[in-house]
Amino acid sequence: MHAIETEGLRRVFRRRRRGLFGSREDEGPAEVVALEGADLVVSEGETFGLLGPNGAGKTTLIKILATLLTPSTGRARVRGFDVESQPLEVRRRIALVSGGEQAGYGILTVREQLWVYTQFHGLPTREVMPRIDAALERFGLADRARSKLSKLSTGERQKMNVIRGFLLQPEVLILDEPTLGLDVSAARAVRVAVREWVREAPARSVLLTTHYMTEADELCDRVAFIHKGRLLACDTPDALKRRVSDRTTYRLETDAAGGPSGDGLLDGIPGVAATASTDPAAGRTRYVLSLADEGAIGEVVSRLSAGGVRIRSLRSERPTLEDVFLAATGEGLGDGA
Amino acid sequence: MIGVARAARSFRSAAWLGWSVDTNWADPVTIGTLLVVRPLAATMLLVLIFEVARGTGSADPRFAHLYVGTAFYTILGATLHAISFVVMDDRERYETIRVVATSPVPLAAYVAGRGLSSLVNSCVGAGVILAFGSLALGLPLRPAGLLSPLFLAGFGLGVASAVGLAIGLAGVHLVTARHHYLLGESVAGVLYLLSGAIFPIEALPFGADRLARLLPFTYWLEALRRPLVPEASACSPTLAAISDATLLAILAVSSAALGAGGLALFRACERSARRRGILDARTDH
Ligand SMILES: Nc1ncnc2c1ncn2[C@@H]1O[C@H](COP(=O)(O)OP(=O)(O)O)[C@@H](O)[C@H]1O
Ligand SMILES: [Mg+2]
Repeated sequence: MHAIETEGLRRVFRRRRRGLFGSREDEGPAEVVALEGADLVVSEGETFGLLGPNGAGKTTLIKILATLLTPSTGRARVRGFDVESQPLEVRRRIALVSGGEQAGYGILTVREQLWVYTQFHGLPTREVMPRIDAALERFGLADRARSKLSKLSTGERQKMNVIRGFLLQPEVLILDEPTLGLDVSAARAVRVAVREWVREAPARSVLLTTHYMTEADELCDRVAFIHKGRLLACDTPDALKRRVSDRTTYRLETDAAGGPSGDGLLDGIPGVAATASTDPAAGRTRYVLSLADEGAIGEVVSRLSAGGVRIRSLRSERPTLEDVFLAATGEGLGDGA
Repeated sequence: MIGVARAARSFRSAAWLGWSVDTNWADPVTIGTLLVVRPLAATMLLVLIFEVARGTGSADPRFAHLYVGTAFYTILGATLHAISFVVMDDRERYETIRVVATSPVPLAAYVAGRGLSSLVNSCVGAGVILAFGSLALGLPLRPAGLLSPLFLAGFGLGVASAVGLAIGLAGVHLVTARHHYLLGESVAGVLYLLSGAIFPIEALPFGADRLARLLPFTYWLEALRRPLVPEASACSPTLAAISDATLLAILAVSSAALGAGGLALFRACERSARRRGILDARTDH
């Protein structure tokens, strides 16, 4: 059974001119197509990433899957249940955590607040309390267990809400930009926890949205790009990167090795294209090498050593998901990517 | 059956939550103010106005009519406000409505449970007002009336009607922005005038008495006054002419109708909010 399946999912927002709710801007288009025919399959056990810039339609897709929003057309199923006709079955199997989330009652303690959430899912108190304490421990909030929420920092409150997602024991954990606004170490703790959580039981799956490409790269088995409401390339991070280029780039720096091309030391190695530039002032030569096969780097190094050239630095430069996104859309991922 | 059990469990958790969140038990001064001082202060103001306007004492049945009516009206007012306001509070202030709406909890049961503590507090407040009236103002209250079937059944059915209406108003809050937060209080204010809490309905101007006769809360207050202060009930000949059994029948029908209607309105608004994606949307400024 698939964790998530969508077919031709489309959502249009109409701007309401005289609605009771929301702003009454008269500018801008009367309609915004937030999602344009999304087809997506997330398998059981998979951690799936939706990567796209702000306004791409990530939250819209998430809200539809979490039954907070109905699609204009198309279908979506979570663990085989239709989000429109079987919302209760869907809600039993999901937990949604949104980045920057500050939800909670200031007067409750962290433990009380987390316990209340578990009650909404009908989990037995006796089983839940030890898990709450363990989760607080691993997220470094153990000493805050009996603090009132009003005394927590925004980061601590957000961590508490991430903990909620794990505690509810969903089959599908839905994370909408979960590390948004967290400091580096808290963000790392969240990523580690997600990875471990999904591995603990085979039926668990994670759908995660982010506009941080490293997060998607590090965490996700598969990634789909989303741009202006459309789902673009969808594959494993490695396969996506291979799409931009099947060659690997190396940057190599040596002590100045004579002539502009290092005396032609690197000429004629099969599958290697080298360009070199020498900086006489610094006494260095810099090579950019494009390799059809990564293994060819060994031959490069032995030729330079044999020629008596000292290698100062060598690093491989793989395409990032950002490069792939750029190639697919002509646009970057925006800040922080 | 599973649905009922789930609703009951959700109601319980939500009631615990409301209890802990809306009543600061750690602070006796706040509790005292909430349960005793506030309801008494509001009632005293009315007593003063009555005394000044009439120059008569608390033996006047019209005083008892007003006093008892106002005491019980506070329960209606608190219920309408508290239950409907849960939606605003949990969406705009605590931001927890998204968590509830994506959990298997029936939202209407949650909202009612979360407002329960305010309802109970207002009942305590009404009791304090009545005790004060009886002990300090010489209100001719018959305590035995509290145990009469008319009072007990009438009280329960009236509260059920109020909860049904309040759930409907909570539904309206699901699709309206923050600045409509006074909805519950506005409706309660209109009902205060129209359901004969202050004036006997015969005294209402512009044919408003015909409206009053359509409101279940008019019969509710009558069903509470009659066993407690029979003299006060006599202030309104129209209502005094209705038998106990008829009063209860009217209240039984109204609580069923308002319960079903309120729930239907709530569900329609919930569907609409999910369709528009505004269920968890904080009002932006
Ligand atoms: N309730 C709404 N009403 C109108 N437009 C909306 C609403 N929600 C989202 N949008 C629009 O839909 C598009 C996608 O938004 P969203 O799904 O929030 O993007 P993301 O989460 O990727 O940043 C944006 O253009 C946004 O302005
Ligand atoms: Mg978003």
